[in-house]
Amino acid sequence: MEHQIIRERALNEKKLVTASIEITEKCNLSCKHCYCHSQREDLAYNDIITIIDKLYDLGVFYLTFSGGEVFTHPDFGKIYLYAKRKGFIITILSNATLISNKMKEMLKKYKPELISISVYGIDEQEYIYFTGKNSYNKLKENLDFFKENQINFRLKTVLTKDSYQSAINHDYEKLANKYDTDMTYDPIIFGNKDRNNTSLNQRLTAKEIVNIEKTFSDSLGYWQPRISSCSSESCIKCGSGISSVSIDSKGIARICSLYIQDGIDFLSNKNEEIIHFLQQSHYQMQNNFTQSQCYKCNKKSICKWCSAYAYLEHQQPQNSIDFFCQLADERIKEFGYEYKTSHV
Amino acid sequence: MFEKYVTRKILDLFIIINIENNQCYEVNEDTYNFITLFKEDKKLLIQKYQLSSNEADKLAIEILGELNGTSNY
Repeated sequence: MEHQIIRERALNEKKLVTASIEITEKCNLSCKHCYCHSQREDLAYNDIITIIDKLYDLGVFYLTFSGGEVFTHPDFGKIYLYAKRKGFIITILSNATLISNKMKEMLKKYKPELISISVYGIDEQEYIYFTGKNSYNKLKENLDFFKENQINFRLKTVLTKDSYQSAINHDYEKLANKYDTDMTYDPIIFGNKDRNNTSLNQRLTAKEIVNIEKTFSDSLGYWQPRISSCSSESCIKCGSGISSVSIDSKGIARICSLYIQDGIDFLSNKNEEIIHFLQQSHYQMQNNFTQSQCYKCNKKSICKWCSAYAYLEHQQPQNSIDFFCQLADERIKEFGYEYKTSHV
Repeated sequence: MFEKYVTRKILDLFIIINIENNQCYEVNEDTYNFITLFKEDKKLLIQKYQLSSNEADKLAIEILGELNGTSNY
């Protein structure tokens, strides 16, 4: 039995098996696009330990530590080791610029399943310009360390106005290749969670996103079958709240870190109450979908709309997102030969 | 040797995890119970299975040693 099968079974059996904890809002970088840096607090060590114990009792197996930047948390080493000794399979989300020697030794001995590393520039100049900090060399030093010590890591970046040229030139891909790992792209920036939408200045247009997508050889193979088979019957499958939970730096549990309109205090509520709340919240999210303008749209499997995105975009969980519609149209125009001919 | 192995029951699966390299091994319930008790309360294990401390160690080493190469994860 493999991890993917456990995840699928958990979803079918409605059992919680995956969780993420945002252990801090603090970050050592000041990235132009970041949607969550208006308030900066750590989740207290004792609260994190209580959360980990509760997740253990709930049967969670896959645990992600996120932030902010996790390595800014003064107790992260202790927290990580505690969770490892409880037998969680751990993923760390990080910018990998702030890892102490002591922490490196711990990661070397007790390897995480994955470190997912955000990269915001392909050289020192680009990195400083976007993050406001001169940490590019530290990042490279730590990537070297991970590679040398066979610590599994992947790189990811957000497509922004500033990274557009490097992305279209595949410079990020080249960086990942140098470390024998993968690079993934998140093409869409959302407004700040505090409703200050300044980060949207960095959002690419739908046309620019597709311009980047079409430079990748596998894009046609990915999008064409989806476009060919798209119909209003296609279903968006999501296990948020059923097999997964996300806990923020104030100890509030949500079905997903992006679904911010609905939450429950994870520390003070009983596990049964939390499970009940998460399932209700999941069904509410599904209701938002079936009552949304997007439910009957042929293109919904191409735009990847969801209620959490709609709320982040304009605080209305059932509304369509113009930007997503434009993106779907651009993808159909670029990759959807069969779709175009069969729908004329 | 024993510190790196942790037992978890996930869904209806009995799993032993090597926390140094994340290898997971599916085992039967008896093996799971033996290793769990070995780690959590060795005195009780010795009493329950009527073993000496050395015999318990040997058995645990044998079980954990046999796991190598059997992971599908």
